[in-house]
Amino acid sequence: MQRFIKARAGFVGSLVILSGVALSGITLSGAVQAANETLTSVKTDTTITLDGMAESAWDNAPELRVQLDNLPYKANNYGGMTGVSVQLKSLYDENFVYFLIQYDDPTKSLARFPWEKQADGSWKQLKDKDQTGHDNVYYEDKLALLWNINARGFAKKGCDVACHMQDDDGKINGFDQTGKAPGRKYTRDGQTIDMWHWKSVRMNPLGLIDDQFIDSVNDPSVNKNWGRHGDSKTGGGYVDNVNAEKTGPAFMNRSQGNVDGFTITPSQKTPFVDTFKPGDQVPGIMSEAFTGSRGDIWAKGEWQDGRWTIEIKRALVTSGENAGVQDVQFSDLSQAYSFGISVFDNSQIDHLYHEGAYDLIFK
Amino acid sequence: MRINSLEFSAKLGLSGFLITVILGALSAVTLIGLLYSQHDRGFNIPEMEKVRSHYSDSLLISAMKGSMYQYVAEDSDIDLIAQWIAEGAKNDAFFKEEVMYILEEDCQKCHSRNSQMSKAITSMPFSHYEDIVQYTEGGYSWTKMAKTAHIHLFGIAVFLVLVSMVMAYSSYASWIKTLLISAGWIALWLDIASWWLTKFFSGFAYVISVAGSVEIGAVCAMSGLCLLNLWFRLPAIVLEPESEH
Repeated sequence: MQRFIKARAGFVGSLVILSGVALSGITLSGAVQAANETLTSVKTDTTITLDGMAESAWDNAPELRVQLDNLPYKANNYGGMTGVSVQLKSLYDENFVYFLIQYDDPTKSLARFPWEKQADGSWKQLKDKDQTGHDNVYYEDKLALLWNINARGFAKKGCDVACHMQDDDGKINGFDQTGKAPGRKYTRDGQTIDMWHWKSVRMNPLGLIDDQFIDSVNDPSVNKNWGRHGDSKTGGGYVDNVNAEKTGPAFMNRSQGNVDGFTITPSQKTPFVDTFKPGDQVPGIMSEAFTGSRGDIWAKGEWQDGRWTIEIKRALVTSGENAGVQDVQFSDLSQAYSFGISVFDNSQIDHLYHEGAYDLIFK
Repeated sequence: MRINSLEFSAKLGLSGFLITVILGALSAVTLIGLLYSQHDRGFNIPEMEKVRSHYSDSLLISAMKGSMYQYVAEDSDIDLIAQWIAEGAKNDAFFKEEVMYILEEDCQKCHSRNSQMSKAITSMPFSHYEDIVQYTEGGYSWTKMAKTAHIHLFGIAVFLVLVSMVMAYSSYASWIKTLLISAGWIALWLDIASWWLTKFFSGFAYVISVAGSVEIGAVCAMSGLCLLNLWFRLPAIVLEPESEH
């Protein structure tokens, strides 16, 4: 055998066969790799600071990578990402659960419907709606986490169970939606989904996530957003920054060019005085921190070098108004909690999503 | 002439072909495991129920149990639609209120003429009764069987004849060559024939599985044994007598 291998033909032949076996092995080993569909939350005794920067405590948490490469419709002016890999980690302590979410986004999109001074001295609010009436040019980066509360099929299909698209006649549940949203969110009767809607302009400067939920409302005359609702609140929210004549902004930030200059927060809010030059922009939205159930999730996101880092904190168990219906309760740490995640790249509704669901487990 | 006496470059060429056949067989096995299991990745053992469903159930039910299973909210949805089909697949109140409700929730997002979703299948809409009823016939239709069978038979024959010829000109004992070459061809015919026969008797699904396994096994065995024969000296017990070269 050794004499054979030493022969040129035998040596090369052995290489050929071994290469084939190695290739087969690589193919097979790649094929047998187990799917990673679980996000494991690890207990921590370290204080997590919500600042959009991953501290060393996160090193102890295993990472889940989720590929988002689906879009629900083809917006005629969408210039955002068509695929993104999101990395998630989770920690928890006696009272809270924490999430670290990171993903690459080459553009930091914060100019949500800004007012811009024109050459003739007038003000124009910049908007560029697509064929469905939604913006993909003058908007904000967002992210959404949907958690199953009791929605049929969510553990398998994820967010899709609440997603209803226009039929061939442009209708959803019999209501004509031609020229309107291509899809609507609603569940079946008595079923709800918790929705954590991180908005880089409207709530991120205030350190909050917009805590919303989805229920079974499938009639726009009952709720213009169909099944999507904000959680119960006792105060706060965001309103358009527009004067009574609708010709320009009503307010502005005290210090122009401040870090959160794309929305007007209470500490910065001052009546609008036009001392601007053509091309200057003023925020088109004003934000005030939610109080009550809608404001019970804290979050801070930072964009640096083409990457968003978002840290989220919420009580394991919430106790606000209607919490049992509107919020997922992490009350049993031996259970798995199904969730889905999506990313909005400067888009009002055209979001990158995945199929199926992932499970959060506590270790 | 035997393959182990070929020139080096000819052996190299044959080796490339045989290794590619083995990789192709592995890919086919992986695909079959994915199509007939509940997983969307990795190497899986096909589930007999899914195999049976694919060849004896209607296209709609077999898709809901198989390739489209990830989009079905709950298994009871499949049972409900199977019940509707078993009762004649009528365009009645049950269809409008129960069947279409499930299809709207689970299927129509992609299966509609104007869908713009990333995985839209606008060529196969499920929007109206007429769209759906054509997929309620059990098993393979005549057209589908004729189309699928001839593509597979021609395609497999092309590489199987080459593998068989390489095996025929190997140095192995005659009984080994005859066994493997016969097994490859007979298993192919049984496999394809059973696709049609399962429509009438679901037990033939087991023939599909066994014949398919024998077919893949024979192709891989012939390819692997020929590779060994090309490059290595083999024990005399598996070789034909010298006088038969």
